[in-house]
Amino acid sequence: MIKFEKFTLDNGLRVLVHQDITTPIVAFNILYDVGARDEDESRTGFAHLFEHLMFGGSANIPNFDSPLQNAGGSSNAFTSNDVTNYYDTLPVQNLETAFWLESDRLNQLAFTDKSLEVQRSVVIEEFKQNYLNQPYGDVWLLLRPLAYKHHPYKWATIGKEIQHIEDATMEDVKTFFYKHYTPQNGILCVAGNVTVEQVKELSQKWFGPIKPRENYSRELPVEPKQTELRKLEVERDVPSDALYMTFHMASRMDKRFYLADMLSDVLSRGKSSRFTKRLVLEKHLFTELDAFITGSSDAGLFVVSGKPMEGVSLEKAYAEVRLELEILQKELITEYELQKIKNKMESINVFGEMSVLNKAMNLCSFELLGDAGMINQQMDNYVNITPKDLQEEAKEIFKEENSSVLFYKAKK
Amino acid sequence: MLDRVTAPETKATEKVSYIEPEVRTLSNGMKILGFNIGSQEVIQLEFNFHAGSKYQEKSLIARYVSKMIGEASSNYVSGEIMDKIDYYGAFLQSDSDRDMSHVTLFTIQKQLKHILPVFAEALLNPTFPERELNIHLKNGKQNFKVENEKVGYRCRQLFTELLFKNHAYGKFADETAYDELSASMLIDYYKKMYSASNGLIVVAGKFDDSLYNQLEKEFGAIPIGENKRNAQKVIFSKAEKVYEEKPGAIQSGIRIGKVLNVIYGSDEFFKLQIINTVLGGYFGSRLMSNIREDKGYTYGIGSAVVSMEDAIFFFISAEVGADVTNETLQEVYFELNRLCNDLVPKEELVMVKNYMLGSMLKSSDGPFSMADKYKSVYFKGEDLSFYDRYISMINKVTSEELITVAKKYFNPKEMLEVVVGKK
Repeated sequence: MIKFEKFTLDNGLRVLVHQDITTPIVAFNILYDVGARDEDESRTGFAHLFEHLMFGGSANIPNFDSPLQNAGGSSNAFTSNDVTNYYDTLPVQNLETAFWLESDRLNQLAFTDKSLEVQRSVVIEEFKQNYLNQPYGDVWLLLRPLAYKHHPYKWATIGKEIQHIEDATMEDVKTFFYKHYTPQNGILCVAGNVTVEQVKELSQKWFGPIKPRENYSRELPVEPKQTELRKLEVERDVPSDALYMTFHMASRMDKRFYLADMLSDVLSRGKSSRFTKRLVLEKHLFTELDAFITGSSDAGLFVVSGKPMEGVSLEKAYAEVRLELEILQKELITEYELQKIKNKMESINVFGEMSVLNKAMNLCSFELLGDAGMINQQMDNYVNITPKDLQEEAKEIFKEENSSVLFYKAKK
Repeated sequence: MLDRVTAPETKATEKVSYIEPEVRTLSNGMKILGFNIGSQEVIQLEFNFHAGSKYQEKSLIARYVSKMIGEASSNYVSGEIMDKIDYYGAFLQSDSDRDMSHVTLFTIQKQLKHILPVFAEALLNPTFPERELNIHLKNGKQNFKVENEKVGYRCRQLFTELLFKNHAYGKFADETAYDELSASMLIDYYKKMYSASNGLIVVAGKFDDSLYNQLEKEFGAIPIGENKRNAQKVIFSKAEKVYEEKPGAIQSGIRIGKVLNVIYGSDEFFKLQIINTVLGGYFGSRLMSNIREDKGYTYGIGSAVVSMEDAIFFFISAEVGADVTNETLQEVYFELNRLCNDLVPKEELVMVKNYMLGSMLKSSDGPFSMADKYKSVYFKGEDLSFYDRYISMINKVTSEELITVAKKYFNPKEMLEVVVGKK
């Protein structure tokens, strides 16, 4: 059970406080409700590029990191298709430094040409390092547009192409900032040995004077139901073939989300999972085979990815995975298997409560979904799931016409 | 009007609390360090053996012995142990580095009594079935081929080979090594190395004293064996520049460094840690500020001083745009020279000190981290006074002292340089 308190400033900023007296470290996490899905299709990669710019100095503070490091802290951030999340950890006595820094960059960024120019190249190097200069690095650049035809999940957070990042102008940057970086769009959580009064006072002092900005309401195209199997085959200079499959699944707030999550666990959570046990170890058709969900806010993807053993064709590999999926559609999973998954989830939940930063991030994510209190009800969503529920969901999700398949072939 | 220009007052971290473990011994002589300091109902139970890759006679043995623990045992067929571990929501993690092999169980407290006998069976009676081993080896080989395509991986390997030319630290498995391993080699190694005298148990989290009795019951039967720990002298590397071209690469992997002839835990050792932080040990470091934040040549660049049992070495590493490989090298040497020729400005040194103290606080937060911190000095013959000396050095060191040490150890002409990719 994670206890927390919540209040909202007049400008709309939501603030969560979680007290944990056992640690000398405080976590300051601030999430903004903006991600790659909010980008213009002709200017992708922007939310992430922007995350980099947020470290390039703000109106009154030329450099974000130096004062934080001076206070014994460190900082980082990540961007997903849904959100941009910034976090600082520091010795608790210096908490105010984080308030000072984070409020100033929400108040107004410095917008220097130098920062834009440098971060454009840094992000381009990141693009190369993780997506182009790695075997299989471009998989998500291929899979997303295969699975999504309308919804902006069709491009990756890094962007569709390097060109979009190269083309970003200062005007774009400013427009993006004022549109998405508003107090109403932010959720702050402070977790550590702090009191609610202390956090209230600091929030009021540093964030209180920031004026609310225009509300942004998101209107995204809904991905129409997929009605036929999509296939893509590419050839790349990689050591071995790889197989990728995606299936459309429910959005984060749908009850069916938890069913899909559990199905992915049945298939590939732990070494005794079906994929690992049967297809990797018993039949030895794959060197690795995973199932996971993207976990996105809007309707997401159930993904299967694997590398077939040398000598096993992609066609054969695909057929074997289909067979496992069909078993889930035809046969009920055993109570033992179900209990195993539930026990594992319980453990993961408890281990997740070990770090203040982790707790702060999760509280913010749940608040974004509607209510931070959901953090304590997560297990309830799984407890009552029955084998029958899972079978019904498997019948829906694993329909072949709901899937996209990528054959990623090694150049011979 | 709120003053947004002036930074709020800060206070440096004065004290980091390091906690002494409870020390117990099993009837077979195996030592236990217990960190009963958690607030969450979780337990980490780690078995450490002096059985890292430097002791193996053939590549991959150490790795696959630890990897195969939990695969099958005298009383459980393949898959049964993993099934039970998953069922009770536990995690089994095993790995092996140059010096040590580790097998670790993570569990929530309420499942401990169910899972402990299973874990003991996995650790005490493993069978290393040939069929499963072959599967793991085939997978490992394929995985190796993938990794080897990455400039970063290839660069690290080549660098380490050259740095430790005449030491086991410099030996790497090639593709053929995966075809030459047999179950009997693993069994021999396991029998010789996974013994009470050659290992140490570290348990951390929230538990009561009865845990020690349970450990005696389940692990008191680990054979006594003998202590295999031994130091093999590292012959210091010579400076050279090596370039391996990878056609079509759009980035290059870069590694620059040397073996440091310094004593672990000595004043100079701590000073080297501080200089390294200035150079490349944190986000605001000189390498990051210059090469990423000013020039935009890379997504990330950093440096580290690594302490192993037989050697302490220093390295800088980055993956950079192929077109700016030479420019990056030039800037790296510029920064090394600057470190040796100019005093670290006072303001920068204060920031580095504050940052280091803050991160020491962070890295010892929680029972698992505390256990890790203790272990890392314990195996090198130190105790917690190591950290007191470290903190006191951070507080008192001057720029003048640092430049003397920089000149002695960070001479750019003595560095090994490896580039894989395209220049």
